Amino acid sequence: MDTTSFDTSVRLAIMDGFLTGATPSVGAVASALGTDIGSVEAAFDRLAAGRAIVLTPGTRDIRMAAPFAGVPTDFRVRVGERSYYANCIWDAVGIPAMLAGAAPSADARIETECADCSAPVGLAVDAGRLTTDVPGAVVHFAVPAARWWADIVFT
Amino acid sequence: MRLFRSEEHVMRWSEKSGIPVGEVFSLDSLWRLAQMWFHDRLSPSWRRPTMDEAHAVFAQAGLTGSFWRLDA
Repeated sequence: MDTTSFDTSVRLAIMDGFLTGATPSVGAVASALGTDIGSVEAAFDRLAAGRAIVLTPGTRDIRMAAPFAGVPTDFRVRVGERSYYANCIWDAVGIPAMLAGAAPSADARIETECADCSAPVGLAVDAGRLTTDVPGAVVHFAVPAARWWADIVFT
Repeated sequence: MRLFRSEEHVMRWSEKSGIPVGEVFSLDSLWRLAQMWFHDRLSPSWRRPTMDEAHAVFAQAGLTGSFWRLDA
């Protein structure tokens, strides 16, 4: 298997790990693919260099594999019996958008809060339609697109 | 990339935090953006979009202007 194909397998194993409810480690991915730790470590580094994932600095712990967050955040997404964390509001609605066509149902409940007053804001995706319990809710992106990757965690 | 209860809450947050207001847009635009951006993320053939592809997605979601330029 060439490097590109191997990295694709690692990326998909990472996504599968998140989908089954856990932030996947190098060891878990190596085990899932039946390969050695060193090969997966190198793939994690290449995927991070290509911005397919974001690692916590100095580690190979996954901080982001968009739309999934590797750590708890203010954006919780529930799909069926599963619950995931997303990195931001874009990624939060990205989870049901990603699952559409790839899962029996991509209906989702998204729990977040107003970034100003911390009051809860709920969103729902039902049959491909996004609704909210706060009709005036708006999205705000603070950082222009050209600077998103200058500090992707803040973005 | 956060959600606010209204545009007034964005303004209030900006004043409190000292972070300038960037782009405020609707959940409808966000949903269009997310559907185009993430629909193929579980495909083996997924790759990061090129700059031109990304600009096209933003435009189709109604998100245009210099804020959305990756080369600005």
